[in-house]
Formats: sequence, C-alpha cells, structure tokens
Amino acid sequence: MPAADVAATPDAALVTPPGMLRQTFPAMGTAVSVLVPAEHGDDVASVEALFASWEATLTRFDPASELSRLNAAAGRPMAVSPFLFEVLAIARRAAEATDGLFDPTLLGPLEAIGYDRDFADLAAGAAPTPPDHGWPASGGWRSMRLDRDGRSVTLPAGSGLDLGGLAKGMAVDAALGLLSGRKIRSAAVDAGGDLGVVGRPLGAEAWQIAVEAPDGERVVSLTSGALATSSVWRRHWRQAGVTRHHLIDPRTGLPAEGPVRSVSVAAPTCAQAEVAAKAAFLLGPDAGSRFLGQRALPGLFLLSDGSEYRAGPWTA
Amino acid sequence: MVGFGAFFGLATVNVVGVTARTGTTDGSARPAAASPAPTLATGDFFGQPGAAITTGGTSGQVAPVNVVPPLSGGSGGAMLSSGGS
Repeated sequence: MPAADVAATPDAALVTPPGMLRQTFPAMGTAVSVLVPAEHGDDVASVEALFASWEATLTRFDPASELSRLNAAAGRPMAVSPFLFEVLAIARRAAEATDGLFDPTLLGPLEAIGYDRDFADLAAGAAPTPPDHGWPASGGWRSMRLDRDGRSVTLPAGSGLDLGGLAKGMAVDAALGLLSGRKIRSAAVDAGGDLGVVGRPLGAEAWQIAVEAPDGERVVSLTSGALATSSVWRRHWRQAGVTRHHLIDPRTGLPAEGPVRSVSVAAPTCAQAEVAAKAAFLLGPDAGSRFLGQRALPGLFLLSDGSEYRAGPWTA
Repeated sequence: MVGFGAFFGLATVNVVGVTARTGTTDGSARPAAASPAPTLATGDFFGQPGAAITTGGTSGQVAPVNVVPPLSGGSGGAMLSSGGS
C-alpha cells in the first residue's frame, strides 16, 4: 500500500508551556526543537553545536565525514575516533539485541532503492533506477570487526554503514545529558519525532505529544525518558513506478511490507526507543507487541486499515 | 567545536577529555560540554542482561517489574510531535 503523506507538525501548532521557550534549528536532515525554561535559552546554542558535531561525524551524505571515510575503507581496518568507535559499539549491541532487525549496515540497500542523497533532494527529484542485478546484502554488522585495543573498525568488503535514526536518537540523549549536566530540570529535545525529556514541563504533569497520522494525530502523555516513532508517513518516494520508503527490512533488503504504518515506543533513552520502534515495526503487530511487552516498553501501533492498539505497559 | 554528551539511563559516562565552548547572548564563553563518548549500561541494548529475541519474537526474558510506565493517553494541546523521520 502506498504511504500517505503526513507533514511534520509545525511549531506554531504546538503548545509551549508557560515559562518555557522553544528554539528550532536544522540538523541531521530534520528540524530539531528544544524546549527549556526561558532563563536557560542560552543553553540551546550548545545543543545546536552538539548536533552539528554529531552530524559532521556521522552523516553518510558528506564524503568527508568520518563515517563516509570508514565506508570507503570497507574491507580493511581503519583507525577511528573514540567517539565513532563507541557509537559503532552501541550500534552493534542494538543489532545484537534485535537479532539484526536493527541493522546499521544497510547503506547498500538504501542506495539501491534510491536513497543515496539527502531526503530533501530525493523528494524533489526522481530516484535513480534500481540495480538490475546483485541486490546489496544486509547483515554486514555480523562481520564488522571492532578492535578496541587498536580502536580500529573493519567493515566487511561491500558493506556500508547508515546509522540513520539511531544517530539522531543518540544525539537526543546526548543533548539531554548536556542540559541535565547544567542542572536544567525541565527540558525536551525533539529531533524530527525522536524525542526525549528531562523532568516534567513547567506547570504540567506530563509532556503531551502528538503522534502523527493521516487521519488525525493521537496525543500521548510522556512523564520521563524518550519516545520515538518509526513510520512511513513522511519519508517515501517513487522509484521506477514503485513507492519506496526508508524502513528497510534486513531480512529482504527491501522496504518493509505489512499492515503497520507507524509504531511509537517509549523507553528510558531515545536510542532505545528508536531501535525498539524499528524492531516492532518490522516484526508486525503480534510479534512486535510481544517484543515490546517482554522489555516493558509501551508502544502504539497504527495500522494501514486505520486501526490502532497499544502494546506493553501503559499507565491507565 | 565538538561537544559530545551521553545520556543512557543507567549508563556510566566515559569522558575522553575534549571541552567545547559556545557563545552566549552576552558575548561570554561558557563550557559547552565535556566530550564523553557514549556508553551503555550493562546488559543488552535495552538494559536487560541476557535478553534476546529471535526474529519470530517469541523468545526473551520477562521484563523487569516495578517500573512505572512513562506513557499514557494524552489530552489537550500537544507540546511535541512524533511522526517518524
């Protein structure tokens, strides 16, 4: 089923709690919004600098980024920065914890379906035609070698990294850590729907969050931690007459099929929420619900027939 | 300038020692952040020792109890938006 279009909720449509301010800036291919108490407005500049640094290292769209250089070196070891090494160690643990449903080595399949450029450019023009033979393999993370002593990484030949939403989730967590370190007791960081919070909003008991859908948003209430959504509402395009979206199923190397259109998951960290949402999306409603329930992660599934249901523990 | 932080629930922080500075509206400089490399708590990625799944989603440990779910049905005007990016 082709995906429906859902535009990002504009800032003007969102409520800023009294006493707080909202600042938005572009980073990592999306809009990042930060909510802090008004007296901490100066601290948003540090969050923006943090996102810029993460993007500079982890983007796959800049051939000069450290991630791109590592991709170019696939097949041979490359010494990497402590930062990139730890990011990749975490990415591998995420892959292990999901039996590869989260796969950081999906660069080949993503490029094969046309996602070889920033999404804004992709949405504006036609995607390149798919390869006529030899569809790129998934699962390269299983052979990715991380040598902690030498702080080097060896990607299997022919594979490439795309950290996508995980990088955004980790950056959100890092930004929240930065704000917490400055004793800011109420804050939220939202990177295009991957979001996390510190404390409660000023003057309210919980953060009210709109989960977007073509037939109207659902509002959920978050008291701590993070929320991430994997959906096909926004990032989809046409390639050779076929609708493509960015959620690749590593088991097929192709955009995931099935009844799920969107999964939102709450977790202690945004990185965890992001990975859990992706896994639940790919597993589908039944197995995905079990996956979330086993980890005490509350989730909201929105299906293509307009139905919805909750998984995992929710506060009534 | 590089300003990395980490926030992974129960995670410890591995500081690797770079400090960034950013400007403020009054023109002064202040530390942006020490640059801890991101780390995770012990256990699997979701913080549960030994937890694992198969792609059938049928195996895995029972989740820890005594954790108050942070999510409930909401109401009123949304402060944030999550649509999948």
